[in-house]
Amino acid sequence: MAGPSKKDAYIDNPELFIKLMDLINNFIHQNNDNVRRVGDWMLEIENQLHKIKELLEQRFMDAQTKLQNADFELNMCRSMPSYDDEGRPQKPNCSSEENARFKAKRQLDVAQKNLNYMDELLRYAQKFAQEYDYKKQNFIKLLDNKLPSSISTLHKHYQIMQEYLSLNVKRNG
Amino acid sequence: MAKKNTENQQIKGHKFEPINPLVDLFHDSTYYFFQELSKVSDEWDDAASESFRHEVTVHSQNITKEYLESVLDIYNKYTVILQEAEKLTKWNAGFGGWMSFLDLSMVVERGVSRLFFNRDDHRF
Repeated sequence: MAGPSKKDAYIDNPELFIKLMDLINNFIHQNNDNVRRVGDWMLEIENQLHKIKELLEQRFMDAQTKLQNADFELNMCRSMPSYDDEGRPQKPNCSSEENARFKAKRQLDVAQKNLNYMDELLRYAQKFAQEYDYKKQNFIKLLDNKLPSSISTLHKHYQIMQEYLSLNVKRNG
Repeated sequence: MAKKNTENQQIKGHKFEPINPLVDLFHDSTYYFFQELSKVSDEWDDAASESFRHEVTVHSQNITKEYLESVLDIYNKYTVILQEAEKLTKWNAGFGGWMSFLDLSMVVERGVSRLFFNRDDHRF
C-alpha cells in the first residue's frame, strides 16, 4: 500500500501542534527578553563612552585655562622692566614662563587630539548601533509578527485535527 | 546572566563553548529551538508541514542567524571602542597609536565561525 502523499494530512500525533506552539511561544518570550538585555548592555557602554567624553571635554577646558594663565604669566614677565648689572634696560629673562607656556600648549594640543578621536569613536559607535538596529528590527518583526502568526496557523491545524479525530471517534464509536 | 545561561545549557542538554556574554544569552536556546523545529518532519509530513518548514523554520533561521551575527558584531565593536576610549583617559593618552576604522573592522570578525549556524559539526 502506498504511503501518504504530500497532499494528504499526515501527522503522527496532533499534540505536536501544542508542542510547537509552546516551543515558539518560549522562543518569542525568551528572545524578546534577551534583545532587551542586549539593548541594556549597549546603553551601558554608550553611557560609559559619554562619561569619558565629558572627562576629555573637562580636560580640554582645563588645558585651555592653563594656556591662558601661562600666556598671562608670559606677557607679565615680558612687560616687567629688567636691567643688567650696569643698570641698562635689557630684555627680561622669561625662559621659565616660556617653558610653562610650551608645556601648556602641548597639553592643549593633546587634549584637543584626544577629544577629536573620542568624537570619531562616538561616530563609529553611532554607525555600528544603526547597523545593529536594522538587524534587530528584522528579528523583532520575526518575534512580534511572523512567529505569532505561525502560532495562529498551528492552532487552526490543531483545531481541524481535533475535529477530524472526534468525527472518527463518533463514526467508529 | 551567566547562571541563567548555565541553566539553559543543562535544560537543553547541549553546551557550546562561550563566545561572548551577549551571544551566549541566545546561543544554546536558539540551537535547541531549531533542532526541535527540524524534527517536525519526522512526525508531520504533508503540504502544510512543507509550508511551515519554508515559511517558519527556514525564514526564522535566516533572520535569527543574521541577528546573532549582528549581536556578535556589536559586542566586538563596542568592546573595542570602549577600550580605545579608556586609553584616552590614561596619562600618556595622545602619544601612542590609535586604531583605524580598518583595524576595528578586522577585530569584529572574532567569533563568527563559532556561531552554531556557521559550524560544520552542528548542521541539523
